[in-house]
Amino acid sequence: MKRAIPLVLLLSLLCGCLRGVPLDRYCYVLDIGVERGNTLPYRFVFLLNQDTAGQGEAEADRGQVSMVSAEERSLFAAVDALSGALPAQLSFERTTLLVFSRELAEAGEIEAVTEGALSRLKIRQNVWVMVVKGDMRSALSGLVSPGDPSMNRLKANVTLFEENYGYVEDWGLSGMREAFHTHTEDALLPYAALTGGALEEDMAAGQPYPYLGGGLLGEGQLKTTLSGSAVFAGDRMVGVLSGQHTMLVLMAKGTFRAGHVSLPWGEGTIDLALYALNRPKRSWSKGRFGCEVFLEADLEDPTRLDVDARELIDAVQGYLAAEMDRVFRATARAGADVFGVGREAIRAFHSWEEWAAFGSTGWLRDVEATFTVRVKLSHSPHDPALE
Amino acid sequence: MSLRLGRFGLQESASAVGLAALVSGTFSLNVGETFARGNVCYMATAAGALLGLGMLRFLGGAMERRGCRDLGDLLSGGLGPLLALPLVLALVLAGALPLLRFAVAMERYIFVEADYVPIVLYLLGVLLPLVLSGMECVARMAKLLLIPGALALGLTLLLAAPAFRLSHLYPLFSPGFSAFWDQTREALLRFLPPGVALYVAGRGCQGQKHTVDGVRRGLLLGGAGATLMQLGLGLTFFGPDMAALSSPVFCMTMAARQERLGLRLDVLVLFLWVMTGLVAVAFYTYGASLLLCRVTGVEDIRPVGALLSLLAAGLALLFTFDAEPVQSLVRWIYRQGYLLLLVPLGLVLGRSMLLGGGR
Amino acid sequence: MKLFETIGRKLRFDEPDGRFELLETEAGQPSFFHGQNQPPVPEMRDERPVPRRLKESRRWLAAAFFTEVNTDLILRAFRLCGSVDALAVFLNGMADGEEISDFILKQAMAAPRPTRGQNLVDYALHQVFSLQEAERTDRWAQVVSAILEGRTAVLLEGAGEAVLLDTRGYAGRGVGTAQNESTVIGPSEAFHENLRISITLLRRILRRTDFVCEFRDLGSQNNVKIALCYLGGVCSEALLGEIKRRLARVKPDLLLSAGTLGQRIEDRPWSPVPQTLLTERPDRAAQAVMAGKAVILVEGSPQALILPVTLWGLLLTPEDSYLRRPAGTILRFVRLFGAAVSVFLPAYFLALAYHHQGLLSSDILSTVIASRRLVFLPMGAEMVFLLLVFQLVREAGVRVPGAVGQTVGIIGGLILGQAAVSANFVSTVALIIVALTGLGNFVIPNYDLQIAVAHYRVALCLLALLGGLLGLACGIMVALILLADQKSFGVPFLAPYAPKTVARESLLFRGDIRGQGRTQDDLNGEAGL
Repeated sequence: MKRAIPLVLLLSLLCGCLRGVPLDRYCYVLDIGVERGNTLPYRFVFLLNQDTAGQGEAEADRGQVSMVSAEERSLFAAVDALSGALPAQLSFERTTLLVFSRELAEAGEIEAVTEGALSRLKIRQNVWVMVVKGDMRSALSGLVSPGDPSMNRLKANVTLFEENYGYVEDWGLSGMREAFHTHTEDALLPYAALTGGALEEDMAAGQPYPYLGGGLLGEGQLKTTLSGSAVFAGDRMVGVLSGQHTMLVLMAKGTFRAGHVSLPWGEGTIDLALYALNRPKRSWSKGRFGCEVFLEADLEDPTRLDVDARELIDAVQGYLAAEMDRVFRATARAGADVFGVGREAIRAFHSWEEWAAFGSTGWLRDVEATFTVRVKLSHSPHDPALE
Repeated sequence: MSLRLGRFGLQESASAVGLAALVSGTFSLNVGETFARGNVCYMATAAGALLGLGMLRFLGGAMERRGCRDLGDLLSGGLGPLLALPLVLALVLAGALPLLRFAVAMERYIFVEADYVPIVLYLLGVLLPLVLSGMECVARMAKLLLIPGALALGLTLLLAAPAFRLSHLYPLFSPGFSAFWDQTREALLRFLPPGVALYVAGRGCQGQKHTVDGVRRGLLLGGAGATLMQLGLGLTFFGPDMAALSSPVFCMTMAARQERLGLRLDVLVLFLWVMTGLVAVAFYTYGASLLLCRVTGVEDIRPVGALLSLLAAGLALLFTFDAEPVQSLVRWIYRQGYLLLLVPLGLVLGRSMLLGGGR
Repeated sequence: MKLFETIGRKLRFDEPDGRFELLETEAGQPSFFHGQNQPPVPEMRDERPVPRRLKESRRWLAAAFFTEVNTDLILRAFRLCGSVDALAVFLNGMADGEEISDFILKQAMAAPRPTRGQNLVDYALHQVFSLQEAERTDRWAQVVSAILEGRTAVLLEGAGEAVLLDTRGYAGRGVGTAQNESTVIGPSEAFHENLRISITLLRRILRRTDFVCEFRDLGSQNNVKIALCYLGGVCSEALLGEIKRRLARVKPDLLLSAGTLGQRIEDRPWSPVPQTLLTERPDRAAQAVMAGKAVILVEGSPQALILPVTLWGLLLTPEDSYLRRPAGTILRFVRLFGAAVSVFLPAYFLALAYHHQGLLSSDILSTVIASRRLVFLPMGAEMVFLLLVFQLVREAGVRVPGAVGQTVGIIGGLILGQAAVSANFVSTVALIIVALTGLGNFVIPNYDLQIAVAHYRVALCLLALLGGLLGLACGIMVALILLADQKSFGVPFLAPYAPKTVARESLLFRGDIRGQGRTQDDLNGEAGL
């Protein structure tokens, strides 16, 4: 053993260094934005958490965040191009958000941009993915809170948003890539837009909507706000779903936790808080998709006297089932399986090849879907305890 | 005589076999071929572990009947020493394969700027002193690292759990029964070496009964762990997606978003696997060295241990080369490597059956 | 062939493995996580009467006190009134020699003969021994107990009774307090340079007949006297044989302390980790003796050498037992956490800072980068430099006497640190990490282990710098291999965990205090469990 020590030391010397670079020699890329370039195919915008030299006073206002961009054919080429123009090396180890412009998403070029580069640049598989509308520089700068170099708070807020409202679904890169080519489910990426921009057209409603989760027309601290979900069919974006409609999709998929719904009641509306009760029962049989959703509802205003419990339950169940059906038909028409019907359909197949052949046909358009919603009121109206 | 066998008990021997089975069952896979047409690996892993356990019980029974205290005794005489050579090679390969997977995972995902050579040299820096310290030390290290190994398994599954989808396992039995049977046979290269290595070192275990018991408990434990890992992988990725990954276990820890934890555990989990895996590799390498010493009559294990450690590390390094002959060799080892164990062990069992009990 | 032989010899591949092993004599299978549920040890009550014949009494005493090797028990034969054979029995060091000479022996020898028919024991009690506290007993157990307390038992031929005289007079004054192993709760006494006083301190705790103190001369020109203390019939014979064999090999020209002796008899002199435990606390030594270990006391050295020792033994303090179970357990967790921080924190930070920046959150990255904005030393050099400075401050603090030492610590820690940060010599983050490391280092209760940890820490830092978490993992593995391969007098250093042996309590949780009197399985003591 005594003689093994020099041997180990010798080996350590032979091993040498695995080329470590101290953390202060890097500029950390927090977010990568990709949009269509003017001269070359893509413009890559990097949000850095370190103030790079020569950014001027305006950058100092945003704490330590700065932005650089380059037009190139690939992410690698953009990194190479920028390396010579920065005082430190770019590091992608802390990259937590990939943002694609709507234009690229609609052209189905997301896969082409991300392919290959990610693992060599140490960009993680579970990095958060988002689609934005509008100029990428403005969109990225609009995502950063003042004085906070990281995206953590925004992300915590989005997670909360998902949990409490069900208006967006949290998608990572690996999930998105799987959705692009396995046909078992299509991606429903968070969709953001600049505050005060034009109204969006929801693909299920067929008309512009004034209200979305995040408040598109509101004034917040962030200039870029979440405003629904980008619906994909395969690797192409085919439309947008509002927050309310996204919530219906999540209910049917089983990822919904809590949310709010406002349904017509008499001459006005009634507001309800909804909670997931059990996982939905989903079934698939020869082109028929069945989905039974179990929810718990609570009146937002428990003092309302014009409500009968049975009537309310029927109304909620009917309204939600009809809405789900409408959203399903709209997305299926566009070939987007955002409800994950493929996850059930694949169970009927015996080999991957068979499924791949079936999945690439337009099978979704012929699917007959039946949505059933079971609602339990947690507090019955006119409950003496409440009066 | 310095075979560095020492003395170790039931818990240590079961830990060594368990860790080795877990590490081999999780990492010694040809990912590309195994998952290309779907996933039956988790079923084949369980079946392979049970098949391996059955064969090792036979072998243990034969050793007991013949009054042999270790496999070296059973292989002594006749063509025994010649039959030991493929076993030695199989054990070295069983050690080289996890080393290869660790090196690939680190080179692809963690030290992307570095080369394979320094990474493998670091691993050799642990392997060499561990093998030279002998079986007693290896068994103690296995006992020490049993909880980190279980932690690596648990954390990997826990980190990947949010990404689990039952639909990822479908179409069930997609590659077909022949693929399942092929993979079950291939799994013998993962589950026979741990038992063989302990049988080789059986003389150091406190009592023959504990050797057989250690193999049984360890293989059940490691086999169950490996099956859980494969099931976890199956629930995380679709088979064909997984076939494209160079290190599915590491990718698995990154499949789900973990921002809420506030810290990233994926790299730490990989290094827990590396630490655990190194003990398994040392166990195999020591077993190979001891068997070689026993059949050749070499009385000092250290030069043999050093040489075989270098060989295991060298093979791992060689297998990283993309050259077609090398990759064909790797594919052959994954597919047919179990024959290196099955043929000599079958012959030895056959001979012991013919000769009957008692030496 | 000759060439191969020469190479083999040069590489020492011809060396047989001749390490001493304590052979396994386990009573049963240990459970996976902790010890067995052990049945309570039955209490043995000695109901024998005091023998009438002195010869018989001598035989019983010899058996109980191991007098063949234990020279502490003094059997002074004399004649009461010049005619009756009598035996004064007492423990050297526990009883006051002057009182025995003046008020027992002198008086007994000079006393007139008793009148015919007068009871001898009555006569001796009322007319001979002029000590203020005296009693008579015919129970043998009471005699033994009195001797262990420091009283003198006078046995008379044919009487079948003994006179117990209070001659307790052990060292009280002059015993100092423990300086380096201080505890909040529990005794503060420390061993003494005087061997006799040190043994007495042990005897006051271990009032057992089977507590043996074997005196030995180390045989050098200096004729250093040492005492080997253990529980006869409990401590493993094989272990004692090995200790005596190693002691017999030691021929020191100058042996100043127990520490020097420890170095001469340990298994691996080059290992940074101690293989014997040096303690200045009699309660700790007594606890070790009770567990079946041996303790060596050296004349002129105020410390005892406990052997064998395991890593776990080095991380425990007597205070663990003095505190209640929950508090003792929490204290253990804190100590282990401190030790882990002390060993791994700087290396882990360097690994992350140089190789795995992604593992640090963006907020931490920004903070670290901001703190290093003008620091000119590279990060690795900064960390190693600060670790060396910490050792410097610590060493200076120890060498400088009393209150000045504390001042050195304050100057070193606060002023130097503040100045170094202001001068952009080091960053605040590195300073905090080294300070935490230092604090963690001090919770390790053993001084030798603290120094060993400092070695490991620097080695791990270098490995982490070169190879990131891979280097760190490899460093940890090599350290574990060294520990797993190490033995202290045949006992595996990582017992009772690896190898797993029946332990008195779980490693992390303070066990039931009732089990603490038992011997340890890994010591393979004669009494077993």
